[in-house]
Amino acid sequence: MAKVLVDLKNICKSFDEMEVLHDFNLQIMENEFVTLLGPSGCGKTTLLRMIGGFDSPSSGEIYFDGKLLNGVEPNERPINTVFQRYALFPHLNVFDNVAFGLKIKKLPKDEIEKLVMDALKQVHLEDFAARKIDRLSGGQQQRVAMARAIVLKPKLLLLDEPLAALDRKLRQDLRYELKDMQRSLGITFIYVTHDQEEALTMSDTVVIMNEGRVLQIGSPEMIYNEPETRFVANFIGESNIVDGQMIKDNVCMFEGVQFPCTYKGFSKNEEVDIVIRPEDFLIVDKDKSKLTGVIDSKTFQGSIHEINIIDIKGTELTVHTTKDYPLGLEVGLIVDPENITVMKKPGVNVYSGVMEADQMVRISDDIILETDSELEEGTEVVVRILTQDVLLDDIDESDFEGIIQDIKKRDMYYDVYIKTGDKTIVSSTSKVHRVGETTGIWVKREKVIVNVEEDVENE
Amino acid sequence: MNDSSAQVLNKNVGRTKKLKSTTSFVIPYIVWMALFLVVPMGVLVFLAITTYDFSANSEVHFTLSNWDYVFNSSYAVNVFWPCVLRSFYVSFIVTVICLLIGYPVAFFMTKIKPKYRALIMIFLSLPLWCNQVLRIVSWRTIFEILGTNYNEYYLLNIIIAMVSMYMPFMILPIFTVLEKLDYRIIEASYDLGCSKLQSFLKVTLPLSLGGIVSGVIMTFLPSLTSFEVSDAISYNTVLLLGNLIHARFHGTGGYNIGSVFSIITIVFTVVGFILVLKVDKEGETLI
Repeated sequence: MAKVLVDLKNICKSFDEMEVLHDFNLQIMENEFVTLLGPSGCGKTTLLRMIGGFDSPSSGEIYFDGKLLNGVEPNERPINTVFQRYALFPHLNVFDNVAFGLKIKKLPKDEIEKLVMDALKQVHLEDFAARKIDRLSGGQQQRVAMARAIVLKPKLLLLDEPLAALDRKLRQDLRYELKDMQRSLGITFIYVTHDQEEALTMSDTVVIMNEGRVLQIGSPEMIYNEPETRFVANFIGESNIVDGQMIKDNVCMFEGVQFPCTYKGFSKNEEVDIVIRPEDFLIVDKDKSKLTGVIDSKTFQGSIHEINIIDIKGTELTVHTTKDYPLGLEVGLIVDPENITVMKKPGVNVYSGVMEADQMVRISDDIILETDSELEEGTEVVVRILTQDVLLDDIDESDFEGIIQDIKKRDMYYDVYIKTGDKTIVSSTSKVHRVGETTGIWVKREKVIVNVEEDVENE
Repeated sequence: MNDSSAQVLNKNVGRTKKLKSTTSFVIPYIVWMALFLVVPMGVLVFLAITTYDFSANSEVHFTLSNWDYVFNSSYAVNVFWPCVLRSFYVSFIVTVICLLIGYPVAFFMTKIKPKYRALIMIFLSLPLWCNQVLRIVSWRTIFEILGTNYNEYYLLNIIIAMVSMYMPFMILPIFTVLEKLDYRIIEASYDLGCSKLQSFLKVTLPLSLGGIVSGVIMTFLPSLTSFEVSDAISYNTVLLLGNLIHARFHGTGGYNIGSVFSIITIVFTVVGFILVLKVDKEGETLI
């Protein structure tokens, strides 16, 4: 079994009260190519900087090869980094950039020369040794940055969006080169990117992050084929996400049509989200499927046609196909049971409330929250807060407080039921709490979704 | 001529027209420069190679005798060149002190919060709002209070006053370069094994060289040509290059010799700026 090289335990990080990483746990094996994937601001670069030693966690431990890394200066870590926009030394030429770390190690001159030339050969820049940095193209600079880091033979290489500044074609070529280099050098790579294509093509393991939390960890195939949350399904490739129900084990229903699927263990008629990739739909004659719709629009995208089909109830489904179909044609859609992904709906707290002055909404005498909604004072509203957006914190840092009534274990988290006055609020959290404990409760203002009551009835 | 080349021609006509209209914006400046820089330079050169005397409106005789006087007479050997040497010596000391104090200050400024940085900026630039002569005279008052306002201390007093006057011109260009330095480059040096000191010596210092050269020139040149500091602090007893020129033009006659002094000083200055532009090609550190 592979050895754990990097072990991140309960990492939290806040900058000026802004929490960027929330109780983050991750193990990285030796020789693994791990990609941290997420939208900008999800905390992935911060995590990388903490492993490199440029930031320190607010709490939690980083272990490298079994040793605690907290407090170790970056120059004393056996880790090297390929920085965003490369951070090459502009006053040195290509050779001296690559030789920089070796000179600090005070290796003999002829050895340095040999190692540098080897590294330059590896990145196909052996003829550029004397070139000045500002005379190199972006792709060449990227290669120098790689050579500068790998020449020191680190056990772990951190790469912070190394291809982001390059054009598309070059990016694709370099992907394969990076993957090859990782294999041949036998170095563990931690790769940060917001480009899902990059993550899927290169990695052994993809870690999907959003808002400082891990959403899903798995092989590229697993992440693509079995997204666990709506966010992952949307972020990785294109998806059709529709409301549905689990009729019973292995049977789901959406758009009024029952489909066989491979999911079990849901309660009877449980409301779920159903995810189907555009390429997993097959277009058939309209009488060969119960799910039918009219082709509404289409675009040709080189190798495939992207076709939007409007279903009878007004839902728009996207289908990718290699065959062209005329607009306005009524067709049937079928889908393989394995290609249907069923996701639990995120829990949601629903309350009725009244708007107060200054963008506040009153749910009860104890719960009055800030919101982005600009509805008039006195408007009767429905307030929705996803259970994952209800944060538990110290009492003095919070909006209101309550007593924990019950805790239910879910797959990757706990649902915590908290009583505040006559209302109960549910919070989904990965932290462990105790029943009977008093806790502070806190919701970001943009997560307090407020609708006028009439709107909800129309839905 | 076919259509397309006619179009190109038309385009070019349009462009020159446009150019002309914006050119007119700089005309006042060009007139100003011509009147107060080019013409005086011409007058200086004219005076330096003639015996023409303004006050007497004498006849014009072209001669090299002024230059011969400045380079070969006993006055040149005993007064002028020792004075030039003294000026270089004073400027050198002032520049070195400014660099030794100024670089750490500039470095410190990049490490602190913007609001404290702004505070230091205010402290640096506030004295510049006060008239230079007033600042020098107030230094003399300080030396009186300290009891060092006499002969033995004049040279030291001049150096202290000059350091205080030119310090901002050392700090600001260095700060400008250091502030623009990409923090990732510094982090890259730590990443590759540098200690803080090694990183400073191998990365920060070489990358701030442009700012250092600008700062040095902008401290060195004004100290070299200043006359008012020595005038006010040493009651014109410590003679510097600036004082000699001042005396020639302020006293009676001697414009011709004074012009030669001035031209020599201008040559020093121009050489200085060529040096700056060699190091800092875009001139981004100049203020």
